[in-house]
Amino acid sequence: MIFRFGTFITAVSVMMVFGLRSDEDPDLKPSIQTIRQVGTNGKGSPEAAEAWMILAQTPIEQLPQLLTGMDGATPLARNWIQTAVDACMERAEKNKKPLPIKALEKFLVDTRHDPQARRFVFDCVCQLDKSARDRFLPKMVNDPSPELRREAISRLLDEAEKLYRTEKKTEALTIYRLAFASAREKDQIDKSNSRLKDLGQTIDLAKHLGFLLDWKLLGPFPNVEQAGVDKCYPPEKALNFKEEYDGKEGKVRWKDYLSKDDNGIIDLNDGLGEHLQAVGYAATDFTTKAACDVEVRIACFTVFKLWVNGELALHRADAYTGMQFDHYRTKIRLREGKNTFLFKVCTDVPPPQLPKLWRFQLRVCDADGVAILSTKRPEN
Amino acid sequence: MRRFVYTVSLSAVLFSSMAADWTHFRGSDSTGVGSGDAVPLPFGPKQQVAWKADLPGRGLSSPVLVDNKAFLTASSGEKQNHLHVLAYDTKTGQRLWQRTVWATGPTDTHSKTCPAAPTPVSDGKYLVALFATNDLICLDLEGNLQWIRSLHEENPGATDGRGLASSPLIINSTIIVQCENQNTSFAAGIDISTGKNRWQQARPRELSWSSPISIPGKSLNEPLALIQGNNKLSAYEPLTGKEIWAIQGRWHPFASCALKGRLLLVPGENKLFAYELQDEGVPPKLLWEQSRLNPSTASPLIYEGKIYSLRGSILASGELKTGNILNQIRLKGGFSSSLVVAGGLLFCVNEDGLVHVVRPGEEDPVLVDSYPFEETILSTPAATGGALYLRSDKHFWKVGKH
Repeated sequence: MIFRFGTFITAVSVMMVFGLRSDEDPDLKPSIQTIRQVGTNGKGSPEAAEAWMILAQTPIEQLPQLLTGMDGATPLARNWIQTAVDACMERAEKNKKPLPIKALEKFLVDTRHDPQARRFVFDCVCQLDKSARDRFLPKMVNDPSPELRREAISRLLDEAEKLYRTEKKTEALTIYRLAFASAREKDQIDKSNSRLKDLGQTIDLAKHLGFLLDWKLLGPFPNVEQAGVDKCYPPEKALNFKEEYDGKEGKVRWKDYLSKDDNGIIDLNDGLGEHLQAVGYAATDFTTKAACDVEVRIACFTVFKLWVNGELALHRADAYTGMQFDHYRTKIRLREGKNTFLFKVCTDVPPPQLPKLWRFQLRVCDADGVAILSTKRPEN
Repeated sequence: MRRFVYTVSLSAVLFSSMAADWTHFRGSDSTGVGSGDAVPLPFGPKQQVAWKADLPGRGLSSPVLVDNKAFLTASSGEKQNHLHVLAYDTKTGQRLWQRTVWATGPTDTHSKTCPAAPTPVSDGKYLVALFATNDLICLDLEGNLQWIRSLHEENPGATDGRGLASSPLIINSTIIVQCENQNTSFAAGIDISTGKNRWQQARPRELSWSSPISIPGKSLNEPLALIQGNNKLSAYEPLTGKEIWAIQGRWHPFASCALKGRLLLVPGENKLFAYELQDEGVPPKLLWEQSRLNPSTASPLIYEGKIYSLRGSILASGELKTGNILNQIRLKGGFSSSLVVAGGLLFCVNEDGLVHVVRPGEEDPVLVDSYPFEETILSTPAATGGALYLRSDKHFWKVGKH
């Protein structure tokens, strides 16, 4: 109670300093700025909690200004502001004050605003106006908000499917092409890809998604009770593709492996034979014209480690959680020219109900999931 | 004598301060034993329903009840990345407020669970909600934000593709968070008033969904935080994070411990273990172990000198002093929800939403009746003040007294 009373007094004091009444437009900037300073380990929270009390009192007419505070904010600060938006809207609802619908629609169509704030506004607008989905979604097929883009493409796919089923295949083809090019999520990409194939189109899905297909494989090395996961086998010290090593069941050498799989699966059972409690390595090069920031996205059925140019980029130990597309993501900076990827895949004895898979899938893309291709990519 | 005084005074403190409240996973003292009258029988989705509220999303978290308010978490959206903290009036079921944040950690989970798996916790002044994404939010009971932490951002990799589920605990203004997984495991004590870490300790890198509980320390005012990892059971000083004792073993990855006085039940990989807590610094003394009382998923419950444990669809009862099996009855379905008791009745909610009401009895537990709610229920209900609070992925019911 002391704290709540204290924050209330602070809020009132700030309003008095700014010469505001609660029904006037306050200057939200100082409070937003305070909240945007929050950091790790609770940094800036006491000040932000006081600023939050002020923002929660924002008149509903000022909602777009409050939402604008999310632009460029950290995910943590954005969440602070989002909860102030919730409080502001609840107060308006209680006082039966209408949302500033026109200003919100203006906010929604301005793609410079924070994607999540826009998603929130989209939901608000759609609740108030049944026609809003049809008015806005056709323009959102390439929206920077992944959720709005997804809804727009979902609508597009429904439209294409109706045309396909009514034998309007030329029109359907045009829409499926647009959906395929714009979709960023695997289920929508697969759906449009499947129909494009039905319509006689040839699609290189692996290239479209940027899967790395051309690898050299080495193994198996021992991994009894996962002891091999942190054991530094020779490829982790130096990559020498001509060298022969002592493996789990005798001498092992690097082997070439080119995946022909549409989904870029690198199957070590296929390349190295079926082995349990084993470590396998896969190595490849990725060439770029200039240094750039990329995301490496991975699916793997078992424990793995990834090194890029000799630096450990990702290590995941939660095995047997499925092979979900883009399950693991890491941001890395590639250097100009050749970059070396080394992937370590460790199998154990899987639970009885699970298959003995020894495989992974790896792609390079930008933050939106658009493929970035090596300049020396082999054709699938 | 000292132990007797401790037990009596601890119970007195807990029950006097939070008589009808249910502030944590399995109640204010983590026992699953509610206070007040029994829920009037029969009941069901259309019988004895004080109110029913729609929920904006999924959840396995339990409701917590403070000061005539019920708090709950939920997650929604295609990727379950919209995380909600909700407050309801327990008298009317009216939603008082809702706060939503965007997940800052991965939302991937096993299909059965979702980010809203950990139960929130309250100290009567603040509400603390943790999600499986490691987003930790502290609000006052009116919904005013105090602080937010992204424990995922601060501890990259502290996640598991199957999802996390440990519910936080508050001891003496320190929030105890247990985050154990195969990648980056830790336990932390966080100052509830500032959101800052008081301490953080590395924990074994194995997945655990069990929740910490408070156990007696050297005095009533200095309880310890008991953290049950997959292979390490540890007691920590909540203020400093100093490990007071630890026992290595193969502990249960889902079910949590139960406590009665100084008797501690620890679900193991294959057996239920009973320990007597010793003086500070000394690990507890093993009293007995019993495989037939070890639960499948739901946490065991201690009530009137007996242990109740769900093994598959079997409800087994045993003697607290010896671990001897007393009886067992077969119920219907699989159970994720832990056992709760109120007004002399035991409630076992199966995954299909069938609420079994069991009368513990002198010797044999007796199935009184079963009431179908016909929705998937994986969360543990709150049972207090003559009412049962149940939640599915879609609805939140108060059954019993208005």
